[in-house]
Amino acid sequence: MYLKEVRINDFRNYNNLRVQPHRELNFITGPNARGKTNFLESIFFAGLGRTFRGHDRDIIKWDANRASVQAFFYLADCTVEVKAEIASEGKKKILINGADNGRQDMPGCFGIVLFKPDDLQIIKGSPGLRRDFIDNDLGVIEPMYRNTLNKYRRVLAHRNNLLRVGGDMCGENIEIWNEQLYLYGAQVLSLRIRLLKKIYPLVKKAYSEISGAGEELGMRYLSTVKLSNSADAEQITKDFTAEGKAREREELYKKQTIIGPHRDDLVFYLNGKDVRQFGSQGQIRSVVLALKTAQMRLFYQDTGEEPILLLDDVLMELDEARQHYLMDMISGQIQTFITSSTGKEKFSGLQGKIYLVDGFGMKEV
Amino acid sequence: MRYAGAVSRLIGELARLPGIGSKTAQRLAFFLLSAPPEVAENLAFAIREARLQVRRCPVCGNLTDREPCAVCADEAREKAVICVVQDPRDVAAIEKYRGFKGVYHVLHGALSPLAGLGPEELNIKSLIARLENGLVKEVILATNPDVEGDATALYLARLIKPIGVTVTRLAHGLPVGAHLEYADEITLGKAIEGRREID
Ligand SMILES: Nc1ncnc2c1ncn2[C@@H]1O[C@H](COP(=O)(O)OP(=O)(O)O)[C@@H](O)[C@H]1O
Ligand SMILES: [Mg+2]
Ligand SMILES: [Zn+2]
Repeated sequence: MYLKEVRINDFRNYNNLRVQPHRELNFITGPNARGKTNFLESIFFAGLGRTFRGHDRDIIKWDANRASVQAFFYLADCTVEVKAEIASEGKKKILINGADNGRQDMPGCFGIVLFKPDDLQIIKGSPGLRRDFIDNDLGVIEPMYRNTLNKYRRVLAHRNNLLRVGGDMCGENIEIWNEQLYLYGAQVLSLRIRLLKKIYPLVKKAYSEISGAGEELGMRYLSTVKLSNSADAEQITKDFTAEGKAREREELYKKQTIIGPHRDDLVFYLNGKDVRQFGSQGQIRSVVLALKTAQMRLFYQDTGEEPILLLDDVLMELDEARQHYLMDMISGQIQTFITSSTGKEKFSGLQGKIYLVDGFGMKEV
Repeated sequence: MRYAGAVSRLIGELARLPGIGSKTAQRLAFFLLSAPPEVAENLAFAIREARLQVRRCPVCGNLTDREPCAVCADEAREKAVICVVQDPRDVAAIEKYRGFKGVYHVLHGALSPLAGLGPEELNIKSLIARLENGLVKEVILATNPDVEGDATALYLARLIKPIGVTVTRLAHGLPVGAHLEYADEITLGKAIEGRREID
């Protein structure tokens, strides 16, 4: 898929902008804090119905009371129009070809892959960042994932609230929420395992392409629930239920839900060594690049469509070899939007468009 | 802009209504103040009368202006089947479908620890009292198909089954997350006919 045209209204510092990007490369340059990332964010918002920084409401231009992005994606041999809007009370509306899909996020299967500087944190940062990678970046390809995860989170919030407040009836009232906790938790786990099984060979392959032979990448999902070697949701429900029961006294004492997919982690290994502890800067960059590459290929494998790639300030951060790897992979296939305040000369010879962002708008140069 | 005391008080009261923001509240207020006086007086009277006359039916908890409510008082309704719902609006939705001949019980909410709603806050005690005479054969749990509605259904099922009454749950013919009040008559009919016993 690719973006044919985008029309932006009262979005961040843009009042009114209309852009028809190049089918392949789009290089967006300009001084800092003028709206380069804001532009990428508008494409992301049209494709996924949410922002990747802060609250969705923050995207509304400061002096306006609603923001809207209208995007025309070319996908499955036709043009799909997405209109995503958010009003200052926070209410979102997403129309696809003019029809309300009744959802506030994930308008469809629009493949948008974003690579931003803080993605390097995925490897070494807190486990929450790795769960976010699974939930947000990989989860889009499983239609039921978001809905199931939201239910799990809601049940978890109710249950944690009961645990926090405590009281004589606590144990009894918790019982009522356990069944749904184990059910939706197991469904989330089962979907995560399925996603990770699909992406694992792709990450491995991409890593060896990037780093050359000699280093073997491994990946392990560390669950706080002891799993009996099965990705089947029913079996996991049994495992989760058994362990949940065994740990309930501890939970009553600690006043929170201590096991479940909300506490799990994903660990990467190189030649058997934990990258969190032993990975060099260069290795970490390669692992993240391999993850993002795999994310793109997974989307293609699952939908038969190439995703759109947004590279926010990361390309120039990579060394020559990794830049080449990335450029080779996207060349001629994947519509790409690259932001950077420097490096314009690199792109002037290539197929594509160069835009300058000056704080008032965006112009092709 | 600031308005004289009485006007801004009216705007403030209107803005407390669900779905009414401050802009709409201003529009309504100025409409009421510029229309002939009877318009505002009739509205004020209607609100006051409704509020004075409408209360919860002592049997089922639905909102009513007589005791018991029209459904509970109707000889033709099957008292052996009770349909439990969260909200008076759900009763209205099911009544529109006409296929249901039993009676109702309105909980006025669902279990929600986040909102501070436990079993004590819901209209549950009077439901159990209704089951004690042994005439009720089936309780249909028609709470919303979301996590709170499901937890409430589970809680009630555990409470009611030991009494020996059959407990059923609406079939999930309803779209995920949909509330009864938005369901159309056909899906609602299917959901009621396709209800399942809870074990
Ligand atoms: N909601 C908003 N309304 C208006 N301007 C905004 C809003 N949010 C951010 N900005 C402005 O956008 C600019 C940052 O744009 P950004 O795209 O992040 O910069 P860069 O070009 O460095 O990527 C800042 O000047 C900020 O003041
Ligand atoms: Mg930026
Ligand atoms: Zn009644």
